[in-house]
Amino acid sequence: MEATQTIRKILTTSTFDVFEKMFYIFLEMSASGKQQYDLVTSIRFSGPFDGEIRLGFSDSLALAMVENMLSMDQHDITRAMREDCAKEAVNIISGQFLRTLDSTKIFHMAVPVCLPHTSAAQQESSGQDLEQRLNFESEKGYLYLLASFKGV
Amino acid sequence: MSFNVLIVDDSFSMRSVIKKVLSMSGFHMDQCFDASNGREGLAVLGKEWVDVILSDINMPEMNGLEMLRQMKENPVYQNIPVIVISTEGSEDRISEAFSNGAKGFIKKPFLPEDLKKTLHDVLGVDADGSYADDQKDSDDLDF
Repeated sequence: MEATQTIRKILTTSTFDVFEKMFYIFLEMSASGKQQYDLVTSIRFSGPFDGEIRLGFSDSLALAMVENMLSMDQHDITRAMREDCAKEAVNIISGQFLRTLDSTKIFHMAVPVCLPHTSAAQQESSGQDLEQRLNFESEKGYLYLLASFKGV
Repeated sequence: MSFNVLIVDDSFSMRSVIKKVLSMSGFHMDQCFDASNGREGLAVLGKEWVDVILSDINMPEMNGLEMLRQMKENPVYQNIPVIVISTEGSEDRISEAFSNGAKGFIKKPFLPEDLKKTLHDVLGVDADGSYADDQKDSDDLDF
C-alpha cells in the first residue's frame, strides 16, 4: 500500500512539474476521467521492473501545449506537431518519474509512440501487477495518465 | 564570438524549444544545425564545422550515447563539447555520458536558466558570447 501511494504521488508531482515547466499549463486533479480524449501516447520501459505509461489528451489541451511550448499561432499547428509534443510529454514525465523513484537504478526507456485512435484500447491496459490511473484538468483541457507495472 | 550549434533530438518540438531558448538568452549563434538521431548528428559533423552539440540520449536508429562513443573514437570530433539534454537522469546514466565524453548534463524538464548556466560552464562564455570572468582572468595570466 505504501509503495502504491509513493508511486501515485511521484506520478502526480512529475506530471504537474513537466506541464508547468515545459508547457506553461497548470493542471489540477480531476475526479472524472470520462472526457473525450483525442490523442494517446505511450512509452514502455524495462529495468528493475517493467512498465508502460500512457497519456491521453483532449484536443484542446494538445493544441495549447504546442501553442505554449513553441509560441505558435493555433492556425499554424498541425496534427504532427500535437503528436510530437504529446510524445515528448510522456517521455519527460516517465523519465522524471523513474529517476525520482530511484536514481540509482537504470531503466531502458523505449521511444514514445502515439497509439491508434481506438478509445477502448487507449484507456485500458492488460493485467499488470500494479496499475494507477490519474485524471487531470486545466482551463485548457483534460489529461489522463495510466501507468502499469510488472514485477514491482 | 559566436558559435555553430548542433541540436540532436528526435522531437521537433524539443529542437525548436532549445533553439528558442538559445536565441532568447542572447547566446551568440552563427549557424544552428539539427539532427533527429545520432547517425544524422554524425553526418552533420562530417559536413559542417560545429562548436558545441546539445544532444538527447533516447533516440531511434542511433542514441546519444552511441554518438558520443563514436565521437570519442574520432580524433576530429572528440574535442567538440557535448551537452546531454535527456529525460534519463539515473546516476549511472549520467556517469556513462560523462565517461563517453559529455561535458555537461541537463535533465528534462529544464528551465532556460539551466541551459544558459551549463553553456556558460562548458564553453566558458557568458550568454552574449563574451568570455566569462574566470576565463578572462586565466587569459590575463597567460599574457
